[in-house]
Order: sequence, then structure tokens, then C-alpha cells
Amino acid sequence: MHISEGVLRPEILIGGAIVTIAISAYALKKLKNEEIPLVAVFSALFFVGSFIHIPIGPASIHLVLNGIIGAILGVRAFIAIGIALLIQGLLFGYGGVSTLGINTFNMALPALLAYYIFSIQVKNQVLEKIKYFCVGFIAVGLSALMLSLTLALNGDSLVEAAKISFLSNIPIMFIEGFITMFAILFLKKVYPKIIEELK
Amino acid sequence: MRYITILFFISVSLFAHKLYILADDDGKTLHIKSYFTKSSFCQDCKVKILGEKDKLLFEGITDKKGEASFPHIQKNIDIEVIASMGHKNRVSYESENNVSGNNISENVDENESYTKMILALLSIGFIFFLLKLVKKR
Repeated sequence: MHISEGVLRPEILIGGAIVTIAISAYALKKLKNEEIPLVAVFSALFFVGSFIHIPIGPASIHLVLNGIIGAILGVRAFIAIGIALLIQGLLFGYGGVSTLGINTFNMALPALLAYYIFSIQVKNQVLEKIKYFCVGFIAVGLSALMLSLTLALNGDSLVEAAKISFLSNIPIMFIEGFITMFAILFLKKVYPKIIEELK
Repeated sequence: MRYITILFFISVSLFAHKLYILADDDGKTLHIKSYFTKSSFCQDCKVKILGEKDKLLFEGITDKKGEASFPHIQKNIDIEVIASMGHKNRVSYESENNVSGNNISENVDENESYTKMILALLSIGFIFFLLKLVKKR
């Protein structure tokens, strides 16, 4: 999911950075002091999730968890994901500083969509579970799509890489769908306040 | 005929001083045997185990049987044996076993990444702590 440095054209990097900075600034303004520890916890969760690799055939993919982060944090997900990506870029070489904007945008914008999916009211329990599944599934799916589009926008040379990138992320959409569904159900059971608190 | 005889003696003499190196390993220990002939072992010869870019990994001396053992830490190494009178030989050796030394370096890498991971999580905590201080004002 991380685009490395030196791959993308400057206009894509600058565009991604501007949009990310603008939304992050809005999120920072909206962020209350008492919400910071929770955002920090989800930032750490995103960070650790990226290190959980799942072998799929000859390749391996990692968890993104932007669905559950977005569902709980809403726009604040931009802060949580942005900071986690910054540390990953600086200490582990995942992505990088120049691609921080576009990487954050690709992973945090779908998190925002996850928040809106999560806000949809459903009465049926089965539909509710499907909704939670969609929170994880759609967030990762959209991130994978945006990642592929970003690579494809860069030029014809990366079109094949874009296709492979999207296809390789299909299994993780289902995995994250189930993880998100079980995680939200668990949170609702043990700590329902967390879901209501940030709305 | 005279020349052939001279050549024969020279070649026999050369082979008599040729230094042979045999190496084997069990994945953990590298065993080296060095000799000139079947009955003439390379005693008290200096042995160097060299890694990539000729980095010296181990150094030792052979015993009376021309044998020396070293911990085996890399799959591909060069073995250099230096005897007296300037006789020396060098061979490349590739282990067919899973080298335990690689596991050691993997463990070191793993420990390093755990340290980095803790450092990264602390950094995240620190950034949010700063954010909290800023928001408090």
C-alpha cells in the first residue's frame, strides 16, 4: 500500500500533499484535547497492523486497518494515519517523506468513507454485521483502487504495476472485512462508549 | 629423455608441496583439514575464514593432524591456509546445510527491528504528547 519515494511525478506528490495537509489541518482544528490518546492508540494500531504480513502465494500482503480507524475516528483518521506513515517512512523506509501526502491521502480518504458507512443506521442484526464487514472491505478496496490509479496516473510504465497492485490486494479486502466486523462487534460489547464518544 | 625426467621430478616436487584443503560442515561447525600428502599434514598452519569482501571472520591454527574447527556463520566463505615457507592455498566453500550463523544474524536483525518498533511506538506517543501540550494551551 505504500508508494516508495522516487516513483511518482512531482505534480502527483504535490497534489496529494496539499489535499492531505488541508484535511489534516481541519482534523487538527476539530480534534479535542481529550480525544488525543484515542487517536494515538489508533495511530499505533495502524502502525503495527502494517507489520502483520499475510502470505498469499509467492507474495505477502499486510493489514491496513483503515476501515476500523476511520469508523471510530472519522476525519481524525488523517492525523492517526499520517503520523504512523511518517514514522514508518523515517524509521523503516516504508513509503517516504516525499510520498507521505499521497500515501496518507490514499489510506485516510477511504477511512473517511468508512466513517460514513459506519454511520448508516440499520435495524437488522445481520445487516449490521454486513455493514461492519463493508467498513473494512470498502475502505481497503478503495485504498487499493486509489493506489492503483495513482500509479496509473504516473504514466504507462506503471499501468501493469497498478493492475498487479490492485489484484494482490483483493484477498486483504475480505480479510480486513472480517477483522473489522469482529473488532467492531467486540468494541460494541466491551466498550460501547468509544463508538458514541467521537460522533 | 633427460628433460622429461627433470620435468617429472619438478612436477612431483610441486605436488609434494601443494597444499590441499578439505572442508565440511554440519550447519553449526566448520571442519577443515589441510595436508600436503596423505601422510604429511599441514601442522600449525594458519587458517583464515573470510567472508564477503574478504572480511576476516575467524582465524586459527591447525593441530597435529592438520585439522581446525570454527563456528560456521556464513553459507559462502573463503578458506585460506598458510603454511611455513610461504606455502598457501585458498578455496571457496559453499555450505549445503542451513547455516546456523545465518540464524544468528537473522536474530540480530529481528532484535534490531523490535528495538526500532518500540522506538517508533514511543515516537508516535511523543508526537501525540506534544500535540496534547499544544492543544492544552
